[in-house]
Amino acid sequence: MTPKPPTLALALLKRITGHNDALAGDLEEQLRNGRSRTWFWSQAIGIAMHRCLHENSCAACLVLLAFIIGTGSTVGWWGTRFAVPVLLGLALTSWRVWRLHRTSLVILYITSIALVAPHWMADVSTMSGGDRLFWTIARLLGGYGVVGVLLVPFLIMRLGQSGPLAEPPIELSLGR
Amino acid sequence: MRQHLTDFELMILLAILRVGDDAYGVPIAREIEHTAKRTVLLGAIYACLDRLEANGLVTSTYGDPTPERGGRAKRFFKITGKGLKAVKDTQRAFTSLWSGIPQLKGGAA
Repeated sequence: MTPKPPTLALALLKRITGHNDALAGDLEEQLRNGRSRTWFWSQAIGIAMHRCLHENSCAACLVLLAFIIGTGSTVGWWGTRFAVPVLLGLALTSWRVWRLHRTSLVILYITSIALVAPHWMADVSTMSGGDRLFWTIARLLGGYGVVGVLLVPFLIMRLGQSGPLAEPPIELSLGR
Repeated sequence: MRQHLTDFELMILLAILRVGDDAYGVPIAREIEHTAKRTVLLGAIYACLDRLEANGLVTSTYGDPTPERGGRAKRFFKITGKGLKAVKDTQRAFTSLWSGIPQLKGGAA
């Protein structure tokens, strides 16, 4: 059976490489020639990191900032009461970042929430009944809501390659 | 603009020359891995090739989409006259640096 490339990794590549999909084609060709899906993922993540670090140092700083915020909040340096306003602040100021480097912004939010969320949810598990349900919903809406507000349009417009933020199609010269 | 190439740029240009007409991402990466014994990220190769193309050292054209690539076209690269001159200049510079170093003479390190 022909191996299929991971859909998420392909979506990530499409976002990073835009309409120039020769790179994705090369990766898929290698996958069909015996490389593993893990190899495919490692290439996709490596490409994302390479682009972030080499093409936009500001974006690299933002990813680092996300890591610091997330890690700091998770291990309790600042506590969750600081993590939430920081994330809200990032959400409010993200329009400029969005215009600067959208992929990095998404990585920033995903990293932040992934690292902070377990800490947020930790004390919910000790609650009972209605409190537990209320605070679970409240924190999910509060935490992922901030991300979701930005991620949903991103997913629709960027991964779908349509809508007002989509980039114009590249002109290909066909034939060698 | 820089007068000489970085080691990675030089490797890629030499790999294109070695591969010949079939020089697209996969054979270029394979050539570097086999010949230079260096593991390379395909994305890094493309980023470097884009830079070389922007500087006029290589040109690229798209082939026909093929099913084994998920319907995607290959991007073939060809070295330009300017690129070939850059390779020769770099080789000359390295050769000059190499010559006259007693530690590098003979087989022992």
